[in-house]
Amino acid sequence: MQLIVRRVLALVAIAVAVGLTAAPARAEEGELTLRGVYYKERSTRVEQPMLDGVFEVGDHGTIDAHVLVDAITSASAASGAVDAAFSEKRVEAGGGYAHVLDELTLGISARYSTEPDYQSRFIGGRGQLELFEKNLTLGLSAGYGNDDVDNSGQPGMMRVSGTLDTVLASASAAQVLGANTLGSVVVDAIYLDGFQQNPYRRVTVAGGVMPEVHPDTRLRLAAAATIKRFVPRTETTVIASYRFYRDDWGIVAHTPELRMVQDMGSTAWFGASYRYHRQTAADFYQDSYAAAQPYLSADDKLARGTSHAFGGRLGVTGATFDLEGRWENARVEVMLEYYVQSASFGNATIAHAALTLPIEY
Amino acid sequence: MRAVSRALFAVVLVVTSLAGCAMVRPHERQNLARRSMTTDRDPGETRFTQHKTGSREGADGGTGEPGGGCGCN
Repeated sequence: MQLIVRRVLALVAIAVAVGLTAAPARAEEGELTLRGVYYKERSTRVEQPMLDGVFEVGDHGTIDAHVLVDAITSASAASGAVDAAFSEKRVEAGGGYAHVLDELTLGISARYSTEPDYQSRFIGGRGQLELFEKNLTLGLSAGYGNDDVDNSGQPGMMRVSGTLDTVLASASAAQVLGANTLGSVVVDAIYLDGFQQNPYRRVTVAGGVMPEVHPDTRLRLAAAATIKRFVPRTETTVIASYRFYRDDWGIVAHTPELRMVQDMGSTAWFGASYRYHRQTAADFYQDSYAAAQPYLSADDKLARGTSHAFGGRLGVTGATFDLEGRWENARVEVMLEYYVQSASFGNATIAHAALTLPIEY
Repeated sequence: MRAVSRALFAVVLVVTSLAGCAMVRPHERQNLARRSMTTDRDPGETRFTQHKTGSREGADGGTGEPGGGCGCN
């Protein structure tokens, strides 16, 4: 794992160096974003550096790529090993290519994630069609994922392993509703088949403990609608969204969100956001079980609950500090979020810092 | 499966009704092209946020992107 992390960090360094040294001749354009995220809740801490890049390829193509490292430290049974603090690193890399054919855009993407007890692969394709002079954009996407999971993170446990297949189908529509207003809807259907319980978690049943058992299949449906409106007089953008979710495990969820971005001239901005989430419990979830049942879960995510997320951000470009050349349009953004949840994980504080550097090559 | 049919019907209904909206010409779209109107969150932030909520809430999706991909359930 140390070798993988070193290689990823070397890749990040090379990519940043390429971005910094690329010749600024008039050619194709791209963008590199280096982001660091810090997540802290009562028993879990996550540090995630990541690098994202998007680059033009010829007149009609765009390549995107990302690489990240998740460094997780936790003492929570809900996050992994039972009753023992653990540290773990997850490495993820992904990329895609999109090609524009007049009004039609076709794209493919792939993602691979590895950690000591979990490997995940995902491949997807999408099509997007612009109609009515680009006032209406329709999209369809589909993907397939395959995961391997085991409990090798806790020596001494009887070895458990499994696989999980995921199929995603998604449809979207985005409509220009006026010179300052955009509307969009997305409908996702996700079908999972395989090992979906946590291999470490134990459930208290009639005073004893038993392994967690979840159903092998799950059909998850989500529909989200978003309205974005720009107010020219104050240079404010207001974004309102709502997501409805239900699955065949019995969870029904409502998630509205409100965001605003306030421009301060052309080189700086700040924003605020609020997100509310409410869900019912899965049919088989209980706080405690008096007797063994076909499905047993100690997963707090499957309990009835609510969460509130309050966020704020501040961003500037290099022009704010009279920087010139490639740094003039570089962006620095910091974000803070406080996440209040009724689940036993406890409230969380999240901080992001990101540097985005436009490049020409 | 009935829920999938309902969702697809809703999408068709919305798309059909949106097609009748007022046309906005390319030269009228300078405000629609602002970053705050296109991607007020960059891909890394969106990915982390989906990862966070997917590992702390029972609901996921609505973004057109796959969730999961880690053992943080």
